[in-house]
Amino acid sequence: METLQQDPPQAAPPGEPFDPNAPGAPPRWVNILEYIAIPGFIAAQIYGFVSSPPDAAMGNLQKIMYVHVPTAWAGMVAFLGVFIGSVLYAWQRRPRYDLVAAACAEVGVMFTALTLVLGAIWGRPTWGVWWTWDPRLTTTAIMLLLYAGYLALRAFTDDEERRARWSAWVGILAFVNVPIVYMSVRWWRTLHQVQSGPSTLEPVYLRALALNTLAVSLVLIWLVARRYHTSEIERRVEALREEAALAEGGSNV
Amino acid sequence: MSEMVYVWAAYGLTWGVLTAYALYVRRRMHRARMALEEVLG
Repeated sequence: METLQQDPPQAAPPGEPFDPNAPGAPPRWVNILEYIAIPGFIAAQIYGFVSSPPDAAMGNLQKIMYVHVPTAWAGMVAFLGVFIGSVLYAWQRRPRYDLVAAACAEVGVMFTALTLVLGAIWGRPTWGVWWTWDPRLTTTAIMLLLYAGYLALRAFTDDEERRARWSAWVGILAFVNVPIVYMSVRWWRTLHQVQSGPSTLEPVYLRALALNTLAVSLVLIWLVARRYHTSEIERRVEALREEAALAEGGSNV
Repeated sequence: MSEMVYVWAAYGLTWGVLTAYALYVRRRMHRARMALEEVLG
């Protein structure tokens, strides 16, 4: 009789998904979000690219809006996350809030840097320059520097408590600039147009923009959750190693 | 330069940066989990 040869069980390949019961496995909702956020982002991008007709004034350059505006939004929401995490840490002194703030800062810096470069790519054919000292651009660049500084500050000390305390204060103070960035196009009406929304966009563009903003928001939550979870594991590993080193030192005495 | 060059550059950059960052986070999580398994034995 012919027997079916079964392959022996294989070890999980590098990366995801791991065994969900293994130590350090990400929470189930993060894995589910991954399966929603990535296809959702791809679908929203294709929809925006294909569905929107060329704009009367900007032509096809209008399509850059579907990457520039959602990434700008994601950056500011991430910095709001830094602020909330920092306030909660300053109040309750729980390390998890510091890790949330740090995860939000890293993802926010990535999105804001991307926003500035995308803005330059749009600005060159539209305004004729890659960069200008427009209030929106300048305040966004300052915001990027502030949060890059926040990340640099975290690398200055190995003392977890001190790092978290310093970071919390910087995370709270740096947020002062975020509403200024948001309102800059209304307070100083210069080159950069006001926020895109129902009052400034045709429904066909608005639909695509709303979809892409939602999709990038899901990607933002997914990235922050993964980054936070990674920091949590790293912290746990460090604590276990310290514990083991102390136990070893104690047994040698 | 054709306007579509700028559009493709913007989309290419967005996809490139997001993919690179997602891979970085994935790799870092993988390393952290390997280290945890090692520490826990």
